[in-house]
Amino acid sequence: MATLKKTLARSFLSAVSYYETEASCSSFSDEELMIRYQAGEEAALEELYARYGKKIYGFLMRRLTNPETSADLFQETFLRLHRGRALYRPELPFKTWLYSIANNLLRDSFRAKGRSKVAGASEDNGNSVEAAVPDGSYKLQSFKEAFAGLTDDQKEALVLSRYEGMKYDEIGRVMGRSTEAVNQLVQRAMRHLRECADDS
Amino acid sequence: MILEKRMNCTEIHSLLVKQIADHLVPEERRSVERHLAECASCAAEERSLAMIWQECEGLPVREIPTELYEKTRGRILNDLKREKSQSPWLAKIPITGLWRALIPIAAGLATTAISYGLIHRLVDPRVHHYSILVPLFSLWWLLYIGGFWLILKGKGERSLRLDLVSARSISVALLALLISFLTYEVEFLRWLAVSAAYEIAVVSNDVFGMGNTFVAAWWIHCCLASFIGAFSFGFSRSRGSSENLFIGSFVVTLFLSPAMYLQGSSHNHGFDLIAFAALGAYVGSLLGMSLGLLVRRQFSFQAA
Repeated sequence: MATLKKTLARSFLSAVSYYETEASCSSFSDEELMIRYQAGEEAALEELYARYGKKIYGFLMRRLTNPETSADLFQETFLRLHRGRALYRPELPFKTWLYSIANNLLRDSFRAKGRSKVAGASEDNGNSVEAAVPDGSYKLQSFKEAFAGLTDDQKEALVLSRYEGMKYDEIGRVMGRSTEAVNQLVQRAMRHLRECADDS
Repeated sequence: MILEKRMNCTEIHSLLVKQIADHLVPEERRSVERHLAECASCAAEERSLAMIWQECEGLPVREIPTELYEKTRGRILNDLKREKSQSPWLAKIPITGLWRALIPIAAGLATTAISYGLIHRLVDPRVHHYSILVPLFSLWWLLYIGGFWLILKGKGERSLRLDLVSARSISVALLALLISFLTYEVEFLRWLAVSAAYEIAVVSNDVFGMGNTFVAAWWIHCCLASFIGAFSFGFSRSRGSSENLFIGSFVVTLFLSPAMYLQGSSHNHGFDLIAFAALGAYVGSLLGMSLGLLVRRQFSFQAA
């Protein structure tokens, strides 16, 4: 019965989407936009892309920061979203679904490169920040080094929490971890950064 | 008492980051605030963590390049537009229940009939006995059914690469047969094909010590067909090109095998011919893919 209700609600929203103007897209939730996008509405895609395009790139750059790889993964994230949009179910939060795609691609990329997570990421981090802040201060430099010293899981949890503003349960869904495990990861990451700051 | 104080502090410590990130429920927040007002060490811990949290803000991140942003947006929008333009056709095809099996069978039969129509003049009934012809065309039919089934399976979702591979393989197989038909029917093309085959046979004879115009003609044929297929792959898709290349050339060769074997059997060639054809398909795919990607990049560059 619940499934039937959801299906009817979804069909109704899809049908309604054809009769509403494109200008009103900004007032819709991510999930409503995704239903419209599934129905083939270009304006809904544009709005979702405007909401998350820059954020996803930032997320990738904070984790990987190699511009070429980030560009590849960015494109692949949105292509996977596009190709797999029929698989999306509105009961899932769109944001965690999208970040899960990006996060899985990141993990695949790390695996494919077969490198040490910490060493590889810190190398990338250094390149990116030097390029972004040519006259970066000593304090910033040591903070970057501390950040690069986090484990991949800690970095993943901290970035999603600090920069993407996600709640721990949302992060848990993206990472496939429990809320408590995410809490532990963020705490350890913060304490590591604090210890590094104390040392310097 | 001391133990209770430590326990409280430990619990509070586990909530401090959540407090800073503003993820606490009101009840937890009140407890934390009450504790911080009384406990100097936890308050100091909270201040130092808040400072780190604030410092994270200062960690710069590179902005997305405008070109990348627009390129990705354009690519998805174009794809969506293309799907929408196709949807009136595809949307009418039912893919549930019995239709799921019947449509590929019917489409496969129709395509096999077209294929037979295109090459029937090449078949010599005095040499090709029906006991050979029927199994061969049945195999061809099965391959077409498989192709159409995969296309229908990928309908709407486009999550499968195989649906694209099969769609192109069917097109390439039909194009190859069309080339056969034209080179047989049109005198100029026949002359061109025979001349090219003769040249290749001469080179093959010089290099490998064996030359056969018939084998060379099939080699050109497969090379050309694969070239068309691979060019379309390369032009429309950039990522995963290498896997498409190998799958594409393999499937194309598979589709062409019955015809090649059919032709080969009358000239005392069997599976050697398929090996030559596979090589032709591979070379054609490689050239087509490279050129397709090159043209695609050129177009993207001009558009940017």
